This record gives sequence, C-alpha cells and structure tokens, in this order.
Amino acid sequence: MSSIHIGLLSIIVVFVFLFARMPVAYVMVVVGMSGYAYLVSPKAALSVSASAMYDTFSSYSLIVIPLFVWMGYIAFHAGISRRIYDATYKVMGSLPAGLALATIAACTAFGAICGSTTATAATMSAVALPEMKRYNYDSSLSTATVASSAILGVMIPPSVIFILYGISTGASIERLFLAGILPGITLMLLFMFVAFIQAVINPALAPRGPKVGLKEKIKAVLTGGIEVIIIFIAVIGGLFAGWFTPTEAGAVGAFCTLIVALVRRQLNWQKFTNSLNDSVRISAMIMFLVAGAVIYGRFLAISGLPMAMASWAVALPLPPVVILIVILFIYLILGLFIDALALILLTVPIFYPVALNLGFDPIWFGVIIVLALGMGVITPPVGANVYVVAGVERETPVMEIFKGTWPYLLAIFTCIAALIVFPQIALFLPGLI
Amino acid sequence: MEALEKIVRKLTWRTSQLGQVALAGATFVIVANIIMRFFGKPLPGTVEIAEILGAVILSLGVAYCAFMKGHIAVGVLVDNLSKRKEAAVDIIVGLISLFFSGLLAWETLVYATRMMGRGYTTAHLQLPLYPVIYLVGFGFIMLTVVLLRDVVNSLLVILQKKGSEAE
Repeated sequence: MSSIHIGLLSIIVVFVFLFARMPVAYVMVVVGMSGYAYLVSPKAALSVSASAMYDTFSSYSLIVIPLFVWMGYIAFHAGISRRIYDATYKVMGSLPAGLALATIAACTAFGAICGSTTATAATMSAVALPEMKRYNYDSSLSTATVASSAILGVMIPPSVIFILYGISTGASIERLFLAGILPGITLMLLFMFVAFIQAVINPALAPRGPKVGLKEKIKAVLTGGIEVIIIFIAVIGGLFAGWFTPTEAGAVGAFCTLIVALVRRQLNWQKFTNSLNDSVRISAMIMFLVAGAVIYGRFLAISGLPMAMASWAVALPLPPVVILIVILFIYLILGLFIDALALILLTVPIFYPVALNLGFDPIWFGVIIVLALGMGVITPPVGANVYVVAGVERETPVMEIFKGTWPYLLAIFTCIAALIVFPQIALFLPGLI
Repeated sequence: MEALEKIVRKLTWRTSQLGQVALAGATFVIVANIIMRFFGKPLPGTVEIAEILGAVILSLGVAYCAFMKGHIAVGVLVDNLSKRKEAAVDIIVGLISLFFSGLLAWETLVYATRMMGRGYTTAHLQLPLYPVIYLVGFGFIMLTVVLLRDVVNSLLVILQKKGSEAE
C-alpha cells in the first residue's frame, strides 16, 4: 500500500471514529499518531505528537484564541447584547418585521465583540425572543431569525473561525478579518430582506413594533451602540493601524470589554468568574482541536495525499469554479454532521493545497468556506445554533426552528454565489492594506 | 465509583481555576506591555510569560473540558442506539482514547525530563521550560483519568442493564 493510499484510508478511519462519537480532537490525534507511526516509526510519532501539543499550547500567536473567546464571554455574561438590541429595536422596530430586522442588526453588532456563533445565539435568544413574542411574532420566524443571524458573528471580526483558518493556512489574520466585513454586511442585508419579504407577504408573521421618536432613536444608538463602536475601533482599528499584533488585539479586546462591563456595573464577581470558566473550557476545546489538526496534518503531509489531490484536481477537465462548487458541496454535507470549528481544522490540510493549485485567492477561499460552514449551524441534524435557541425558547419545537431557517439558508447560498461572481466583495478591503 | 467521580471533579475544577487565573494574567500582562510600550518601556519577556501562561490555561483546561463533556463529538448514529449498545461503543472509543492520551502523557513527561537535562530556558528571562512541559504532561494524566472514569461509567451501564435483565 502506498503512502497516498494510507492517507486515503485514514480519511475513512476518521469518519468511522467520528460516527462512533469519538471527540473530533481525539480522532485527529489517534489517526494522526497511528498513521505517522506506520509511515515513519512509533518513536517518531510519539515525539512529534508530544512536541506538537506543547508547541500549540504555548504558542504566542495562538493565545489570541483564549483572549478573543474571553472577550466574547465577558460581553455575554455582562449582558452587553441587551443595550445593543435596545438601540436597534428603537431604530427599526416600527418597520414590517422590524423586531426581526433589529435582531439581525444586533447580532451583527454583537459579532463585533463576540466571535462565537453559539454565544451570540444564546445571548440574543434571551434578549430578542421575549420581545418578538410580546408582539405576536410567528415563533418559527423569530427563533429561526435569531439562530441564523448569529452566523453573522463569524463574518464580522474578530472571528475565531477566521483565526483558525489563518493559523491552519498561514494566511494573514488581519486580511481575513477585513475580508469578512463586506460579505458579513451583504449577508446581513440579505437576511433583512428575507425577514422583510416574509412580513410583507404575510404581515401576521411579523407585526410592526412601537413607533419611536427621532430623538429617542438617536439617544438609544448613542447609549447602546457607543460601547461596541469604542471596543471595535480599539481592537480592529489598533490592529490595522499597526499598533498591535492579533494576539495583543485579543488582549486589548478582552480588557476593553471588561472595563466597559465594570463601568456599566454589569459584571459582578460571579459573572466575572463564569466568563473565565467558560473561556478556559472553550479555549481548551478549540486548542486541543488545533493540536490534533497539527498532528493529523503532519501525517497527511508525509503521506503526500494533499499534494496528490491538488495535482489531480488541476488535471481534471473541469473549470476551477466547478471544483470549487464540489468542495463547497462537500463542506455543506460534512457541515450537517460536524461542528464548523472542527471541520475547518480537519479539512483545510486537504482542500487548501487544492485551492492554491487551482489559483484561488487564499483569503477569498477562506471567506467562502467559512460562509459555507455557517450553513451547518442551522441545518439538521447538528445545527448547533438551533439547539441553543431551542434551549432558551423551550416552547418552540426544534423542527419548527429548522423549518424557519430555510429562507435564511437561501440567503447564504445567494451570498456565496455573489462572492463567486464578484470576489471583490471579499477582496476589496484587504486590497487596501 | 462515587469517590473517583468526586476526586476527578475536584481535581479538574481546581486546576481549571488555575487556568482561569492564568488567562486573566495573560490578558493583563499583554495589555500592560502595550501601555508601557507607548512610554518607550515595554515589559521585558512579555511574549515568554504569555506563552507560559497559555500552556497553563490549556494544559489545565483540557481535562476539565473533557470532564464537562465539552469536546466536540458527532452523536448522530450512537445517540440512536440502545443504552447498552451506546455504552459498548463508548467503552471501545474510550479505551482507544485513553491509550493514546496515556501515551501522550508519558511522552510529554519524557520530553520534559529531556528538556530539564539539557537545561533549556526562555531566551530573555532565562525561565526554565521543563516545569511548563511537566504541567502539560500532568494535564494529559488528568485527561487520561477523566477518560478512565468515562469507561468505568459505561461499563457500569452495561453491568446494570445486565443485572436488571437477569432479574
């Protein structure tokens, strides 16, 4: 059996273990170590794996992940989302589907300080769903709006998924952050269009909210939105101005969010320790995945499989865009079962060389696959965001929420199509630096 | 079994609290360095301290995350099996994971001992690296214990089912 065959066999073994409910990080460690031991030697496999673990855990550039995770959890526990929602609610609430539009805008704004879709879904569920219920919104529409809009957080920087993609591929995290902004805003507008059209066709689904005077709107934006703007400018502005590195941006983000929460008296000792507890747990989960992906990636590299696949893809008598669509389809199918964070680390070593060989821009490819992975969090059976929303809104059956996400899935498809036709949507802002 | 559960819970929780302190510490050290840099006096060794704290956060968090069932897994097929079959699959998966986690713990400790022997330190502050590597090894030992607890729990599910069927 050639080393490439061993690489292919490893993919099958990965799926066997995955469907036996072995955690994804362990799967990558087990298969990566075994494969390395078979192709090189057991001693080398042990040595490479132990040093990969230590190097990952103590990597300065990777500490950015716990820092941005903590930033998101401070915002989550401090309830910063409440004032963001109050602001968007007062500005848009009186429009058709106004509260849904306000939820979508608030999720986008919250995404600017929180890089996790599930944290965004949990926090916005608690804030937005009671209001939509009060105005007799259709439960399927309201819950699906929250679950879907939480995806916007991964496109708006800081985004943990973009950081992981950047780490896995060596692509610039700053450029990835910039590349996500315009597609994120495009997706937000498409989501708003979806909610608006549903309300226009059937106004009973999403009745208008209360009318608010201009003065009150301005006041709400200034009080509710100002802290997000300050944190966003401090973190992202400082990063692009060259004042600090991505890791330092993470520390500044966590620190600024902490200060805002303390000044607003929204963070007591219990909430503070809860934010740390959640952050350590989630960061350990992500970083163990990263370390597992490093071990599996090293084995795949010596198997020669990624390069063979890349050469094979280029030799196919198909236009690159068709191969891209096939890759996206694979992501869509895998995303139905596997969490986005794990999936990106598991597949990037295989698909990234293919994308490079086909001449795709690495930043643009990253934005497209992150968007495709976003679909996985609102599609059954895994659909993490849907389960998070269902956990908060227990009266709405899970399948009813999944039913409501279909129009939003179409919006994501449209956004991906727009990115394929007009790559500049993703590449315009990175091109400026 | 209850005693093991109690010990593992306490151990993973207390050590994860050290990880929490390290996370807050890393944030403050990095921010302090940025502030001091503006005054032309950056904190020496910030990168090294942050790297060490990063290793503390993550090595002590992995076992706690496993204890809280926080590692991402795909439950689509196994979730639909009977409790006994589910436990049988969990035992096989758990034993494989346990074996590899034990190997990683062992090799990391060997790696730490090697680094101690060679006297490797950080570049600026000359801090010895081996205690941090030992800590990572300790994290994997805790992970192995958590996985052992899971295997024992699954075994108990099978034994209890067998017992209730016999009755």
